[in-house]
Amino acid sequence: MSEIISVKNLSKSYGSQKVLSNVSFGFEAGQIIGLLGPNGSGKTSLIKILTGLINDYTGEVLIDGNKPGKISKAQVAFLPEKTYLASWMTADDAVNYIADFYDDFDKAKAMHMLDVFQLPHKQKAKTMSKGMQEKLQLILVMCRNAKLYILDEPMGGVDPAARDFILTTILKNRPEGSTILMSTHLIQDVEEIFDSILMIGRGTVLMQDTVANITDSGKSINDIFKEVFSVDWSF
Amino acid sequence: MTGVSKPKSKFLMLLKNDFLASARVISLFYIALVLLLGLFGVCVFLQRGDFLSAEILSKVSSLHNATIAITIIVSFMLIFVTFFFVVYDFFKSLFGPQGYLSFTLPVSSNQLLGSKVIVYGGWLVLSYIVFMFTGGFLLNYTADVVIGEEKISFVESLMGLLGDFPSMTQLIAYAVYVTVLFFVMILSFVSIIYFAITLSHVRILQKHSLLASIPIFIATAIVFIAVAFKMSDVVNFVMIFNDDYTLSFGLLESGYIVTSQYAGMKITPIFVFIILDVGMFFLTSYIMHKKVNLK
Repeated sequence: MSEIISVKNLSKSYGSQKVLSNVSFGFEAGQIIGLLGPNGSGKTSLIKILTGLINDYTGEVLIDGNKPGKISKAQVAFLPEKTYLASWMTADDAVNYIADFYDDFDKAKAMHMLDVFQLPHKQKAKTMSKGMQEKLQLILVMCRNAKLYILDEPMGGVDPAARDFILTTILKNRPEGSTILMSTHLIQDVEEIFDSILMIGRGTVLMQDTVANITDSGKSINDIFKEVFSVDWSF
Repeated sequence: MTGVSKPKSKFLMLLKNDFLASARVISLFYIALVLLLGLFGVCVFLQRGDFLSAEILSKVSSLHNATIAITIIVSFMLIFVTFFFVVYDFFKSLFGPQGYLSFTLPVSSNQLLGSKVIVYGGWLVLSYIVFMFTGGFLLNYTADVVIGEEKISFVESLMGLLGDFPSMTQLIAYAVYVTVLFFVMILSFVSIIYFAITLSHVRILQKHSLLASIPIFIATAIVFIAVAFKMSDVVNFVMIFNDDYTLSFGLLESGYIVTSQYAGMKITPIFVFIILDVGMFFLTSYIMHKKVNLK
């Protein structure tokens, strides 16, 4: 099977500050991958590169065989940590907007999910609560039949009930054979859904392995995370 | 797979959505203008009829005068509102949180930028045209009322002050030339604004992006104008509009030629502005693609 994500010798600097240093990894399609690392580890920069938001880097990055660009952007459904909807957009406007640009977007399903999630079709984004906006963005992303879903902290800053809701929505609506790359701090809440993990710290890959291999050692991902990164917090 | 849309031209979709996003606010001013012109028409109709009492006619006359003033103010404001949107939407939709949506669309940065230039350049041009036509129409109407039948002889006497000026046909040719130059300069204006905003969002400047964008805009505009007019001195390419409605082209050593037989119009600045606009477009697109860092 070909790799859905292939990264070779990737480096990225902001001036003299190196945020990614000679990073290499690859993942086959069809998995749920946990992207784990503390703040400032380079996760966000890596996600920005994979989604085509940052283009000045060295090394090779391929998404399903294509460099991040027009083709890969049509294959990747990206859920950023920020709420990105224009203030004038209603829920319907947002659905129509995504339908205009992504041929793999299932508009009928999105309209149905608005009702299921009790999001008013005509309410403007600027008058929605943060939770409502996050639900709407989740619908926009998960109603695409994308090859790769990149989810940046999808459960960051929400209560445990909302976390379950978000996780269920992601798993229930994920097309068969698709890949999910999910960055998160909340390892305990989601570790059972991961097939593989990629741990990065200080701009380098510290660990890439399957969850099966990790659990065979009798440890949880959370334990491994603490082992790998405890040095960062030791005095 | 049910409900999945058919492939569409992404650039057309960008144009559509940029237009819809801007029309929500800008169109309100056009609607206000149409309503004001309608009110103006009603006032004129009522004043010309003889079915109103002197007291009501006086009130209608006041409303009529106020309508003329407000219409001119609104049409003038339209230019500023459009200009505000040229800056605001570009900044917000690309470099605010919405940038995470815009820059992950399956389109190139050329297309993202091109759509903004076409839609907002179009709105700016329209706002100037509407202002000129509305102002011209109301000025003509006021001249009719104030000067009356002597309006044409008044204009002719004004033209007489200009001495050996070309004919009315050549005057129209000049107006067309100035209009084209004006539209090209609007395009330059938009491209310089977009360049300044984009450059101010590269990582090194983005902490003070608003402050940085202003000197970048001023410096780039000065360079644009200096290059355009310096090039005109070096290659003074002139289009001559003859009184027999024919066009001819030539190179002059310096200055214009205006006689009663023909009018020469400098076209080097137009070409230079267009070339600079194209260069600026691709430079802005490159910076947008390679150097911009979303917060």
